Amino acid sequence: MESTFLHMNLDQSQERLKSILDMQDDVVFKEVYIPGYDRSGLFVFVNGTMDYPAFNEIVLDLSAAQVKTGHPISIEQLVNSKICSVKEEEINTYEKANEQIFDGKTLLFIDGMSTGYVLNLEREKTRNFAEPTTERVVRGPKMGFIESLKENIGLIRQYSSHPKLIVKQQKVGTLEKRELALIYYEGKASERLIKEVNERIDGVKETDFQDTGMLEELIEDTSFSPFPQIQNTERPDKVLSALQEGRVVIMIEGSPFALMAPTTMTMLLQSPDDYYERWVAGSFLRILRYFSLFVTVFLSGIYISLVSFNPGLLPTELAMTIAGTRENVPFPPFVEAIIMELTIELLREAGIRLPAPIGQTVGLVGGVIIGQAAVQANIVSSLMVIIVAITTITSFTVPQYSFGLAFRALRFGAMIFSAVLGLYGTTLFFILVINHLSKLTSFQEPYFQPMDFIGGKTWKDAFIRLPKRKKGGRLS
Amino acid sequence: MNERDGKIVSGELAAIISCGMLGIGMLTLPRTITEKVQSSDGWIVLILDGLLIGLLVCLLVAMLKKHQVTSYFTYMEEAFGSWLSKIVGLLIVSYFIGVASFEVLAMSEMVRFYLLEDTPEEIVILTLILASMHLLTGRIKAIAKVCVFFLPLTIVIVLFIYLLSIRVVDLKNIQPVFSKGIMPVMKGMGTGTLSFFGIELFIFMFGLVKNQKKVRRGVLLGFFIPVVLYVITYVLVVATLTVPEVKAVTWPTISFIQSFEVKGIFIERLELFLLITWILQFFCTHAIYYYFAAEGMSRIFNNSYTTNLIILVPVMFILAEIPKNTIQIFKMSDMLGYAFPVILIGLPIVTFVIVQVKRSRRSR
Repeated sequence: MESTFLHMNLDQSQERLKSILDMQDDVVFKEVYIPGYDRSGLFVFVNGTMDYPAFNEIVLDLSAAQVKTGHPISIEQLVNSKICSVKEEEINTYEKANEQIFDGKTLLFIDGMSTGYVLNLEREKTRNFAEPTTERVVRGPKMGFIESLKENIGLIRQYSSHPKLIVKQQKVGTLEKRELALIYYEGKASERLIKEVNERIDGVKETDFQDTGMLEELIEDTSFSPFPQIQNTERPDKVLSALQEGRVVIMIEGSPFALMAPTTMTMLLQSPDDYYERWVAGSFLRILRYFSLFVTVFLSGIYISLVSFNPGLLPTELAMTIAGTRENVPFPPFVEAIIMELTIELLREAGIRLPAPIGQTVGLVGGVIIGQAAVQANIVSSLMVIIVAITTITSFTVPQYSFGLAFRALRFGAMIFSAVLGLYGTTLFFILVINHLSKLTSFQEPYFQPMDFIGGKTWKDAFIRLPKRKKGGRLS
Repeated sequence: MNERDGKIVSGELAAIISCGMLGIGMLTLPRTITEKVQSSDGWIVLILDGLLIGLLVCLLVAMLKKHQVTSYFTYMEEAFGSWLSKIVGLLIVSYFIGVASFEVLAMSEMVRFYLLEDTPEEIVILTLILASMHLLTGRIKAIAKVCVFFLPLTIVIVLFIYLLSIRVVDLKNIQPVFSKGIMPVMKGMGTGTLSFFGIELFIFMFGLVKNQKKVRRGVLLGFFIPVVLYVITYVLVVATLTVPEVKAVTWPTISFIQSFEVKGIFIERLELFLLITWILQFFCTHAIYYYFAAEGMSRIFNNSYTTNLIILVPVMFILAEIPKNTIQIFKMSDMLGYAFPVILIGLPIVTFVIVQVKRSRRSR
């Protein structure tokens, strides 16, 4: 498209702009008169993005301007001095003007001048900083990110004033251009990692992202894995500690979730308050989390294989009890387990979608009433209800929601393997999960490092959390 | 730590060697050794053999270090020339394939015996081979991680079970020491070495280790973990079951654990844990040998590693199908037993001597 230069005459400009913006009913034209110079000015902006108090101030300033006889200044100088705090650039063509208006900027044209001014009078619509809803901690900062990238970066800068903290911004997307920020500590994050992240982001620049979740899927190492290979968080304290560890943080305008890469399985099982509480409690909770992870995935599978293949391996009395509760149940253990596990997953999903007060009711109705009724109707055994309850509760202990989801899904795999091959199947599934984890990488860094637990210097902070003093007062 | 360089650290080397050694041996060793020694002195055999092989390992490490071996197959090429080294390599590879299919076969036998009576063995064998293949696409790094994860798990569980067994152990059963004199012990030492299947792998992993200075420490650590476990197992099993009974049962270690019940814990039958951990160990041993077979083949035939992984699946499957009963399975292990000392001792020494002579000639 050929660019058309702005007219000198204000009426012509206005007419031209109106014809370009014919369809747009939310574009506002406001004229201002500058009496001191006997000239008119024209403000053009999109209704709703305007910060009216700031706008009013400028209008007042301009209309109150007087020509000083002592040392007269030109109209350009006057306008420039009045708008210098919000001025972004000068434009010459209508095409540029069109672009800038919809970027939320305000345009100012003065009669008799062929340049227009772009003013940033945008008022961002944000909600207030609040406690993050997905990652609650008992003790620790209660601040969470919001949808405004500017505010979020400001928050990070507020806590970390180090000049080596680099924030690189670029626009991504085609229809909706959004700011994407890459944040890291220079010198701490490896060159290779930064290069890798940049390459991957360049590869998906043309996509429109509504949330970092979409970006995550496009830049992760492999899509064929149930496990999230990039960590996300709403918590500034988590982001800061990730930055200190030399990881890279990616944020997108409009998403309160920051991505942190690379990540490891150990990191996904750590909660910030492990570090804010005493180390004994922190270590205990961490071990509990590993244990519950195992229970979540394998308990139903072990139940199925023991009951349907090897009841002989159970203690005699327990085997009798189980047989007793299953006496009138017409289904094999696998069907019984699938019924209950599916029901509970449905309830959880329904509970999330519904408004909070009703969600709880659904949980109560589902959990208590259906469970009780199913046992009384002899559809499932009471032991099965207990097992499902345990696996569900344990699945909530994973601090990272998306990581917990992976294990919820894997549970069904374990159940199928157990139903087909008994205990050997359960073990085989365990082997397969460990195999998969061993091969998984996050930005070419190993995802699962069992060496963390037994060797090297890192074990003090992997499976358990030892006192900080032993680590030289550093959080690693 | 970079994922792509394909190097392992000495701790991972130790874990791989331990996992490679802890396979069928642990479950049958009280019987195989007692059969040869004919008394309860097998633990002395194990200790003496362990020390002997430990010394040998130190010697071999020193030899490999002296020649700065980065890959054993290129090293053999230097010694034997291109054609002969390919033939020797092929023999080694077939040994690896043999051990790999033997381990998976032994495991399927164990699973059939204790866990899945009605499921066809073929399914168990095939699923395990496929699971290994799944792991092996990640090469040595993935194996190292799995071993590092499984090994402590195994040790903890086994020691826990043994601790609970103390009550039934009667040490009078292994006394008196040297009841039949020293000669049977000396004779038993030959077969005793067979328990240390897996140690020969370090020769092939030598070039893969990142911190070369710690290789010896890694190998010895990886070697002595199983040795200690073997000695403890032997003493406990024979002391509980007595010599005649040990000789009569197929899986003495499992029979030993079945011989007692622990009251007061949720699970009274502890063999459940042993069976599960030993499936893990069988898997590790199998995967490690499978890996070296595939890796060796790609060196010999210059083809891709992934192709070899796929080719080996039917090969190992058919090989594991050949023995029809338990007796034939143990025959298979005897056959592999003859190859073991050759690969552990004979081959490295011969290779060393030839390379030494060739290199000194060249330098002159």
